[in-house]
Amino acid sequence: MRSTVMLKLIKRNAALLLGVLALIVNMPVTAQSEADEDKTDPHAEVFNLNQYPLASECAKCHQTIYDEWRSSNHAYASISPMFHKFEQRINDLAPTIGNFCVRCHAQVGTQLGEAREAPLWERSEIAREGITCITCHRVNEKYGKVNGDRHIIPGEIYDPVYGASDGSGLAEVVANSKSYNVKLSEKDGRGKPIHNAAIQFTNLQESEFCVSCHQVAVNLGIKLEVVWDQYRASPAKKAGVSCQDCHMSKVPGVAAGFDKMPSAIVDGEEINPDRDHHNHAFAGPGYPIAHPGIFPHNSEKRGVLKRRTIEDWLQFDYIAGWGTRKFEKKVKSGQIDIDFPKPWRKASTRRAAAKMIEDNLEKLEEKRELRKQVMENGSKIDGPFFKGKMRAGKPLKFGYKITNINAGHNLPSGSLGAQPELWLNVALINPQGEAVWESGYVDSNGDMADLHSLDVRAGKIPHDDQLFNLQTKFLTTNVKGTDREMYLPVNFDIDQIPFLRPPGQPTTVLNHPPFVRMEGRSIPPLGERMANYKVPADLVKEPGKYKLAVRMRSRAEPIYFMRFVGATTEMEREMNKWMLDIHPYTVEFEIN
Amino acid sequence: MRQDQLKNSRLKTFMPQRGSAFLAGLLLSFSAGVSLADDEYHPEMGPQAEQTKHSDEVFSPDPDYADEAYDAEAQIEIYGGKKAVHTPRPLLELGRPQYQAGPLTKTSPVFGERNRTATALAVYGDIRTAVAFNDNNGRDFHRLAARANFDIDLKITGTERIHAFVRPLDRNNQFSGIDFGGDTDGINDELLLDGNLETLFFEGDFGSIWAGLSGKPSNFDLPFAVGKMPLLFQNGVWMEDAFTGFAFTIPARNSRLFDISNFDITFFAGFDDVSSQAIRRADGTIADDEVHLYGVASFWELLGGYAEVDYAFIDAQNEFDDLDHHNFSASFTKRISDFASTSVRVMSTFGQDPIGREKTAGGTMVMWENSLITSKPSTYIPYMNLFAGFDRPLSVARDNGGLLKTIGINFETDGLTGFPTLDDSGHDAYGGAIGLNYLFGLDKQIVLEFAGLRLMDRENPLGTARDDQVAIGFRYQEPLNRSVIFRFDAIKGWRDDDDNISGIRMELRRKF
Repeated sequence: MRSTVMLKLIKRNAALLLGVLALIVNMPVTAQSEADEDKTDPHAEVFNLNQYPLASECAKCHQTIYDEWRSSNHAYASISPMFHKFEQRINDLAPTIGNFCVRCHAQVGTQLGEAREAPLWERSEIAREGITCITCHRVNEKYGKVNGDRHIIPGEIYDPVYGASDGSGLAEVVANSKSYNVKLSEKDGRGKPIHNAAIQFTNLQESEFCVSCHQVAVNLGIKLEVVWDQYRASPAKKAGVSCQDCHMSKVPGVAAGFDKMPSAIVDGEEINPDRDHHNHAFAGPGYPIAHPGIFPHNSEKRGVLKRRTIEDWLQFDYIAGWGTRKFEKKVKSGQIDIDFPKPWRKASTRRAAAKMIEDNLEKLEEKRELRKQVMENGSKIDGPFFKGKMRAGKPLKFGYKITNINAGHNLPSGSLGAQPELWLNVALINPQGEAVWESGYVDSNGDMADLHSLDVRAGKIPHDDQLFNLQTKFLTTNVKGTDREMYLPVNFDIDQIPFLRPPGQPTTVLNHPPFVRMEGRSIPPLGERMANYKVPADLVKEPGKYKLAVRMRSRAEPIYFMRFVGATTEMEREMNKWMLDIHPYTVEFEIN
Repeated sequence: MRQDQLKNSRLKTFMPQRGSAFLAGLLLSFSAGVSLADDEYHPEMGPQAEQTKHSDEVFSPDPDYADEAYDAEAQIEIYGGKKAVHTPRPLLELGRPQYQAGPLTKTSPVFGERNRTATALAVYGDIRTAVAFNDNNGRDFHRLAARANFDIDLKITGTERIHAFVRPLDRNNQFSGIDFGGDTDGINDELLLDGNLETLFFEGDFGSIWAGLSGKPSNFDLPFAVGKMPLLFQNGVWMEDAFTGFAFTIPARNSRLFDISNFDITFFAGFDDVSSQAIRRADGTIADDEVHLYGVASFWELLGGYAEVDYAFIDAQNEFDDLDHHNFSASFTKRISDFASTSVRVMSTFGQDPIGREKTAGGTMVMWENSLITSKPSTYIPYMNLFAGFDRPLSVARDNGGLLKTIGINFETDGLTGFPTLDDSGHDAYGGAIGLNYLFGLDKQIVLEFAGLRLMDRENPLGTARDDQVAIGFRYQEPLNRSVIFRFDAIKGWRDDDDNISGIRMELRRKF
């Protein structure tokens, strides 16, 4: 019966089948035409690094943009220790995932054919720049939901770049190249090398441009990034506000317009001085936890530091204060006796390194401020709002209202759905000034006291029953029965060697692949949610003036997850150190 | 120990910790982030409260790393300790290989600048070979059987693809293999070849297609599928069937009014191959070409969990016209504190009004699925799944196992060797399964389970069970390398008023 039906289906859809056949036939043709294009030098794209100019080269004329970018999450993409640890762990567990992760995080490196497991110091410098200038400005195809499958156009620094504007400012520089002291090809002799043309590519200004990397599903249809999903259903989208309007604007996270600034400074001359300046810090809540010697990118490395490799930097103990005046004084006086690794034997080198690290840490402090602004511009805490009578010896009931005042996406949104954490920390202080009750406290590792906390699991601290946590969760279905929270959106109960191949089901109409899903707890755009608490009566026994302190806490990764992927202590330390406290405030009130 | 703590007020345990936090706060107060009432931030609050000085020191401390020395080797290991992983490739790959290193080539605008093609054809799947020694329904038989699953996927754009699935070594759920030993006379071997397409569907997104055709950004996403497609809702309880028809989804919406983080609504219709267990021919075979199906399935993320609410109308055709019925189901899944993960599911089949013949659908299934959250919450999972089936509850459509398949391993056949199970219909019966699932190292699995069912009316059983049944089951799985999994299963069942069942099987699954 089925075969008859299928025959009918096939007959009825002869045109479709022909189309399919044509596509199959077309495949080698597509590959061939690509090959033809590269015939002039088949290895140029693979081996010629000149085909992929560095951000530090672009900085020569676009210093402001470079300064914004160098500490951005884009610049961090291929340096991120969490990325490397996670990428290795998921490859170990799900062997077919291959280069899926690196093709966004180190897109140029992937295009250059670098192995996903290549040590960072063996990667090309352009690969280490992560999402660098050319990742966006050497793209001229309008991608949609392609999950990072993008093509960067190879070309020397002299070749055209793609930008939001019409390139009129550049045209003038090109026309007067001698007076601007620039060169348009190697033959031109002296001068700064610049691109000969800027081709307008308006897609760069559309939210759709971001989709190719920021709405990501890995094979089987497992959604990892859903920010486009959230944006597409948002009031901001309806109002025509784009991702760039908020994340590249003059006020982090707010569509407040753009600063006016020159697009470049060439030979001291401002080019397009009143142009909209799109901030390339790409303000968001994420933050780096890499060694500050290797991130933020720093094109200012001079003298002896220029020769220091990534491995050298990773040996530099900035935590102990190497190179600082206080530390070096102790070394000199013999109070500290360390057998310094060879690259750092000289005190002068250590001092230079410490200076650069100080500069980078300053940059990270600036970034912290941007992160804070993004989060505070997008959220609001109101409260406490008390319920019932506030009497000594009676349970104290109150709530805080958390509002997502950002119209563009849920709170929180962010990358890799189930990792970014956002939770409420509330403490009650009694009339004696003692903190007697708290929710949202962390364990000795820094994790919230929920089911993933190692301390809760070990019985060292109680579970935080009233925890208000907006973190999304990955769930997998048990071998039988219900679902459970899982570190990864991969089901090992059913299959111990999960192959992430295109799914057998039309998963886009199923919300999720069978037996794996994401469970959001985030607040919809412009939505609000009450965090309700009840303090037991025995903790408010005496009348008097009490205080309630509150803050919302934002962290990029849970520590339990970091341990799952084999993170180092330094990584955990930095993850907790740079955690963000949002809208902290305290109120006082009477209990009679 | 944790349970004891949970019984206590959190605060009692919390107090010593708070005390130390407070002392630490005092010691650090010189450098602390103490601020005056924030001039820039003025929240609304109840009339009883007034903003005052804030200090972060009142909160519990974050981890202290003062005693942790910098570990340069560990830092170097982050970037230098990565290793290559053997990546099994599909049987056949044309066009763009999946997730390989190397240049990402240009795409083609054949379907529009905004919906670019990057074609890739891949054939992949697995071959399962198992040997089983079964005593099932009074028959003792040994079987060596094989099953091949081939997925054929033609990726066209980022959102559009054509997918097909074939099982060339089995036909009508009979598998190629050899019967030997037991009650079998001699050796019976049978090669069953089948070239039929089990599924063939086109999946795409109208939003992307529209963007490609119009050249403008699309304001909507509307994923859809058409053809013979497998749909699976509520982990396969409500539906697990491949039928010919179409489906489309309003995806990823949210509601600030009802505080719903995300919801999706899928509409579907089937016109052929609808495997309704209620519509059978006189010989007992499912009349899958005599049923139309119209339904809606929805998924809602809210209240710290998620709900699924689904409805379908099963529209029987021609001689079965009087067997039309409805199916409604709702479920909610949530973790309860650090104690348990739980799902409650209710599914009701109703509205059938047969003329001159017995009712084939009508009843309610209630399922309560639980797993304990242990000290190893991701890998050590004791579970208890209970069910109560009143009358004749049915899934909307299913072509794979019985309704109780998700309750326990003792209700699930292996889809290959005729491995015995308890009655998996759930008709007029209640029972459940208690088991332990341990995934050690995430790649080795042991499942041990006890399951049983009791009939509500032993005089008039509606399912295949004649009376009460119990069984113990065991499963072990372990990968032998990066593409072969070894699996061992055993079951021993006791059935009142019927032959007992038993089975042992070993399987090698080669994936590609």
